[in-house]
Amino acid sequence: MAFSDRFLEARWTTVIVFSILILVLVFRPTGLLAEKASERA
Amino acid sequence: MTAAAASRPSRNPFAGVDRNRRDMIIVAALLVLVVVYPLLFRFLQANLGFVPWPDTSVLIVCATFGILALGLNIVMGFAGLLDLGYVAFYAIGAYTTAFLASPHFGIHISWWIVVWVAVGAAAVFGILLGAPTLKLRGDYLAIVTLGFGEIVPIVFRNLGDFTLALPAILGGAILIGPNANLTGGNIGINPIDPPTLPIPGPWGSEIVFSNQQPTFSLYLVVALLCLTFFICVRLRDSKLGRAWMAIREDETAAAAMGINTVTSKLLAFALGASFSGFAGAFTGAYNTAIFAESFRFQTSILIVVMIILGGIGSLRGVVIGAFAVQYVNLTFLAWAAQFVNPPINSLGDTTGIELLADFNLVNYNFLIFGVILAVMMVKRPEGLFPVETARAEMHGVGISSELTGGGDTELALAEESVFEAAPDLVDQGGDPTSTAGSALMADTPPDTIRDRDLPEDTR
Repeated sequence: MAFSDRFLEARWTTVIVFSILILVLVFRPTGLLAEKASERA
Repeated sequence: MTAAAASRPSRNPFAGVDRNRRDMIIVAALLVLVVVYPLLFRFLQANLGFVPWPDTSVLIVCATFGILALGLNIVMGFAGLLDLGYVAFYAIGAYTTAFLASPHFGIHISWWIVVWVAVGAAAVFGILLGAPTLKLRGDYLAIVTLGFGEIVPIVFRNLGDFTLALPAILGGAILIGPNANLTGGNIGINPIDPPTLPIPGPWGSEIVFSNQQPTFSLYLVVALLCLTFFICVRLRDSKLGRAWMAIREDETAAAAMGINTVTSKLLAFALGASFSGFAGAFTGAYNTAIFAESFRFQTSILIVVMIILGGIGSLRGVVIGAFAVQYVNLTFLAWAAQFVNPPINSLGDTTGIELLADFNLVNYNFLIFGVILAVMMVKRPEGLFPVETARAEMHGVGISSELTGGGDTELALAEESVFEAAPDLVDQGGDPTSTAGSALMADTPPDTIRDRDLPEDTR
């Protein structure tokens, strides 16, 4: 059972997972714990 | 390039004919073929039935995917942005059509208007996807677009039955629903109004472009394909098209030369997506139904296969790639299956291996495309009908003469066999004005180009 199932039905899990992935890549393109930000090539 | 063209004069039926004129002749011949094909098909089927001729509905799917391939080619081939979620825009176009021209919401707007709304909606979503991903390149962009391509069909499926309510802490008031049906869920939206033209004739009081009248639908979709192709040719030769190719080759250098990379990339996303919406609007109306299932990740991959197979960046190539892949997918495999399946199935029955007993060649279509792609990447990475710069980049300049001189006989043989298979199509010699890098290449010694570092993005 996915964590998001507490708030949304299970059929939305994939949507949540990919949304988080996209948001992380958009706002922290080097990953959550990157040492220094450099442009990804 | 000229030396290569001159070395094969005898096999080219258009030797000495002006290139534009030759292209016009080929296009005219193809259009005549399309017009007579629905009649011709019955004749071919009756007299030459041993060859798997594609029927009209298969050609319609081929042409639809031709539009999709041309659209993806703008994003991937011209601008070099790897997009693995292209099917999302296809879904958006199709669902927009379904919302605005079906009994589902009781809205019945003419398809000829709805199609432009669908194009606009897809373009808006293209910008919505493109804007936050501008700083991502290569595989990172691929992951984001892949995620977007996964999200959109699932959202469309889930919106068939959903309830939007405030969290319990804020009172839990229901905003939408309960159990609102926006998209039909798994059942999809059925029926959708097909495009019609009020022209009476033997076919009835009006022409209906649906799968009930595939002949007219074929004419419509080929007209749409021609329109798309024409726009793509003009885009390729435009300032914007050359900006895209400069970005594809080296984004930093392009920006340094004064190209607005933000606008150019956003326009690539928007225009690529809008063609997808175009195809989606046609598909939805032609099938008079849409289902969330038809917009899976596999479809994105299929379109990527088409443009890589045909020759990424080459307009002629990606359309041929689309027709080839869908023809194999829909007609050829089913035809070949009747010869391949029985011996394998009987072998499975005698040995008791279930995998062989249940074997059906049609189910192995993606395996076959995968093998074809893998072989292509080794033998002919630039695609079957590549643009001149891509070919030069992969093999060095002046392909056939250089290669035979260069000692790489395997590649030269692969080249030759394709030339023999379709001499008139392959022997294009490229359009020197069409690509950004060709002027540079002409002035650079071949060795420099062969030895230089190739860009690492997905060419």
